[in-house]
Amino acid sequence: MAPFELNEVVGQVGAWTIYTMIGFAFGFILESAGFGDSRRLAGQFYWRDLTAMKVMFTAILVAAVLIFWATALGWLDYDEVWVNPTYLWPGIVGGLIMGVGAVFGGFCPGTSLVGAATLKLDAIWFVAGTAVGILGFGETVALFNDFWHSSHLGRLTLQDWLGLPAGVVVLGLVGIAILAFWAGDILRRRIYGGTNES
Amino acid sequence: MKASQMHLLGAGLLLLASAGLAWYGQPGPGEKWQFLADELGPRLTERRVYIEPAELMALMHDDYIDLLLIDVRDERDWNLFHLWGAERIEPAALPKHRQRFAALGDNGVVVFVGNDEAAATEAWKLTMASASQPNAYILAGGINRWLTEYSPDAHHSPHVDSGDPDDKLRHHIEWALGSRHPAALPDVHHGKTRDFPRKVRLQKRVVKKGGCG
Repeated sequence: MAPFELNEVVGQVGAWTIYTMIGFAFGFILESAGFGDSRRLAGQFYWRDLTAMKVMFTAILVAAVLIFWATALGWLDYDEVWVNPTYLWPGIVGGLIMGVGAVFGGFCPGTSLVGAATLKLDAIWFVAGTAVGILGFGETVALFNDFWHSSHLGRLTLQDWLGLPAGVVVLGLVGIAILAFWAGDILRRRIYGGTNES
Repeated sequence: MKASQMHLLGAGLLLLASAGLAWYGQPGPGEKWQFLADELGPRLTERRVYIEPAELMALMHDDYIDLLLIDVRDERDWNLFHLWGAERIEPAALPKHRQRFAALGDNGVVVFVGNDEAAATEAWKLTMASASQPNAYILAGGINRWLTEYSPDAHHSPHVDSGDPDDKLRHHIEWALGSRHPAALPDVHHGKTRDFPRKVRLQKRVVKKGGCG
C-alpha cells in the first residue's frame, strides 16, 4: 500500500530521477497554464483573469478525488500522506504576507521559478527578492520564535474540522468550485465585458 | 468539441467522481487492516512482534528507549496492577493518539499490554491500521505471564499456559496497588538472568515533509 519509500523501492538514484521528472512535469504544466506570466497571475486579484483560480482549484480537487478514491480502494494509506501541521495564527499572518507579495510581484515563489526558467526579468527579480526574504527570515526567526510556534493544531484537515466524511467534503468542494467558476466568469464579464473564457 | 463543452464534461466527470466517493465512503480501521493484512499479518502469525517479558523489562530499564507502554485493559484490572510507566488507553481511543505515535523518533517503541494477548493484538492491529504504523510490539502472554514471572507470590498463581487465555486477570491481587505493586518494575538484575530472543528493532523513521511555495 502506498505511499512507498522510494529510496527503498528504486534506490537513491532512481528516487532522484523520479523527483526530477515530477518537478519537470510540475514546472512544465505551470508554464503551459501561463503561470510564468506575472500579468496573468496578478489578473486574478483584479478579477480580470481567473486562470490561476481555475487551474489551482481544479488541480486541488482532482488530486483530492484521486487521493481519497485510492484510499477507499486500499491503494493508499492516507494517514501516511504528509499533511502540513496547522499553526493557525502564524499561518494567517504568513498567508497575508505572501498574498500581498503575490499582488505586488505577480508571482508566488513557485511560479517565479517557472517565470525565471524562461528568463523573464520580473520573475528573476522576484526570485532574488524571495532569496533575500528567506535569508532575512532565517536570521530573525529567533526574535519571534514563540509566535512562529504558537496555535499549533497538528494535522488538521477539513474533514476533521467539519466532522464530516472525506467524500462528502470533497463533493462539497467540487460543488463550490463549479459554482465559483461559473459565478466568477459572469462577474468578470460584467466588469470587463467580452465573452472570452479564461 | 468546443472549449465550453470540454469544461462541462470535465465538471461533470469531477462531480460524478466526487459523488461516487461520498457514496462509497472511506475505509474504517477494520477495512484498513484487511488492506494491510498481507503486508503486516505475518508479523503476528510468525510472532515477530510478541516480545518476552524479559525483553520488555530490558526496555523499561533502557534510558535510550522512548518507551510507550499502552495498557488496553479495563479500569478495574488497571487499578489492581499495572506496569510502571504504563498508560491506560481504551482501544477505541487509539486512533486519536495518531499524532503521538507519528511523532516518535528512531528510538521510539510502543508495547501493547493486555491480560493475555487477544486485546493487545487487536489494539496493535487497530494502531497499525489507523495510527501511523509506529514501531509497535505486544507483550507475550500479557500481564498474566508477567505476574507469573515477576510477582513475588507467583507460585501461588496459575501460569497463563495452564489457564484459558480469555484476557481476564487470573492472578489474585487483594489490593488496588497499581504501579506500586512489587512486580510493576522488577529489579533489572532479575531480568538479566533470563535469556530472551531480541525482537525489538529500532526503526529509521523517515521524516516525511512537503509543501509548495
